[in-house]
Amino acid sequence: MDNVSKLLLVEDNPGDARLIQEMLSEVETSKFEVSHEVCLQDALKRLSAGAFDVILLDLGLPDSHGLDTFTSVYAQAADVPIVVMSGFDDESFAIKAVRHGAQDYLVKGRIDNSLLVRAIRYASERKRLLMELKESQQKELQVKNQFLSYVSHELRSPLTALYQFITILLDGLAGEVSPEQRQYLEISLNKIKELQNLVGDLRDASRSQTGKLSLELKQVSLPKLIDETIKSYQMRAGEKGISLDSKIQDNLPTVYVDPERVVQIVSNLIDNAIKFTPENGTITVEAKVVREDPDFVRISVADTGCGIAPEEHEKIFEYQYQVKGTSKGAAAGLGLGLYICKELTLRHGGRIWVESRAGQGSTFFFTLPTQTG
Amino acid sequence: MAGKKILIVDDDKDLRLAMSIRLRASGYEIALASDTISAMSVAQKERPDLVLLDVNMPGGNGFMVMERFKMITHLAATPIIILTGGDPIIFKEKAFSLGAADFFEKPADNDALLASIERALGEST
Repeated sequence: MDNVSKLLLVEDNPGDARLIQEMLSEVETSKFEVSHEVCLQDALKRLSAGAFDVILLDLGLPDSHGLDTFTSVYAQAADVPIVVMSGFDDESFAIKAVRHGAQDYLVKGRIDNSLLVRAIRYASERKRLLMELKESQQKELQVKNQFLSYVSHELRSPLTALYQFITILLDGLAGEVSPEQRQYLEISLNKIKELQNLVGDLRDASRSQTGKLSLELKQVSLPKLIDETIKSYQMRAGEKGISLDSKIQDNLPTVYVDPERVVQIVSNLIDNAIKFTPENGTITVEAKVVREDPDFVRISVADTGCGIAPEEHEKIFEYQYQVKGTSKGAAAGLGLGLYICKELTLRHGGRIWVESRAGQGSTFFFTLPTQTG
Repeated sequence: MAGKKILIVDDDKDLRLAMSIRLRASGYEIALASDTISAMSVAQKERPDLVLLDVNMPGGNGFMVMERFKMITHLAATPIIILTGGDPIIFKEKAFSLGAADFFEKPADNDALLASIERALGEST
C-alpha cells in the first residue's frame, strides 16, 4: 500500500480512538487518512457521502450493539473491507461478524501497531480477492449464456430445413406417399418438433437471462386459447389413457397478455402433467377469477400424478433445475420449462406457484392481469 | 393467387429450394437470389410481385435491399415480407419502420406465411 488509504474509524471510546489513531500515524509502510465517527448513524452518513478503502468498526456503539452494528455498516458498504473491534467480553460477536462478511476482527487491549497494520492489509487483500472471484463467476455465467445462445441459433437452420422437407413430403408435393411412408415421416416430424421445442426453450431461457424476453401484449379471450391448447395435447394424453379436460368460469374477463406466450406456459404445464401422471390419470385445466385477487385470472393445471415434495416447491422453477428420479422413459429435459414459465409469468406481472405433496398429485397455478399496468 | 411471381432472397440454398417447392405448389412463379447484391439485379430483371427477404444474410443485412428497392420506381411499391433467424425484437421494429408487409421468425409456420403472402398480394393489386 503505497498511496494514501482512506480509513473510517468508528469508535465511541475517546481513549481507544486516540490510541488507534496514534498507532496508525506511526506506521511507516502506509499512510492513512483517518475519518473518525463515534456512533453508527454518523458512520452510515459518512459512508453514503463518500468512498473508503477500509473500515475499522467498534461493535459496541452508543446507538448499536454487536452483530447489528456490523450488518448495518455492511449493508451500506458491501464492497469495502471491514475489520471489527470488540472488547474481551464480546469476542463472540466479532467472530460472528467475520462469518457474516467482516474480513477480520481485533480484540481491544490486544492490539499493537504491527497487528493493526497486518489486519488492515490482509482485510484489504481478502476483500480484493473476493471481488475478483465474484467478477470471474459473473463472466463465466455470461460466457455460458452466450454459448447457449449460439448453440440454439446454430441448431435452428438445419432444423428448419428438416421441418420444411418432411412437411413437403407429407403434403405429397414430391409425389404420392404410401401409408407406411406417411407413418415414418410423421414419426420423424414429431422428433423434429421435439427438437424445435428444445431449441426454443434454450433460446427463451438465454434471452430471459439477458433480459431480452419480449412480449407482444393485447387483450385476449382465454377460453378459446385454453381449449385449443388442450386439443393439441389430447392425443398424447390419450396414449396414456389420461383424461384431459378444462373447467372455465363463465364470463371470464379478457386478459392483457401475449397469447403465444400464454399458450407456451399452458403447454409446458400440460406437457409436464402428462409426463408425471401415470396411466388412466386425470388432468384438469381451470381458469377463474378468485375474489381475493380480482384484477387477475387464475389458471391452474391439476394432475393426479406423483406429486412434488414441499422442499422442492420453489426449486423446481429454478434455471436448469432437473427433477430427480424421473421414471424410466420420461425424458429429464433441460430443466428449463418451468423456469421459462416463471419468467414469462413474471414478465406479465403475474405469479406462479405449485400446490402439491409427494404421492398426491400437483396443481400448478399462475395468474395473468386483466388489464394493463 | 395464379400467375403472381415471388422473389425469394435467402443465402441458405436448401431453404430456397424448400420454399420454392411450397410456393410453386400454391401456384406462384418463383425467382431466386442468394445475397443482397444479386437480389437487386434479379429483382430488376424478374419484376416480382412480392419479395420474401431473409435479413440475416452474411455480407450486409437484408434491410439494405429494402432501402434500395424504395429507390427504384417500379420496385418501390412491391410488398416485402421479412424472414429472420436472428433477434426478432430489434429486427421486427426495423422491418415495419421500413415498410415491410409482414415479419416472420424462422421457421415460419407455412399456413401463416401463405396467408400473409395472399394478403399482401391482394392489397397491392
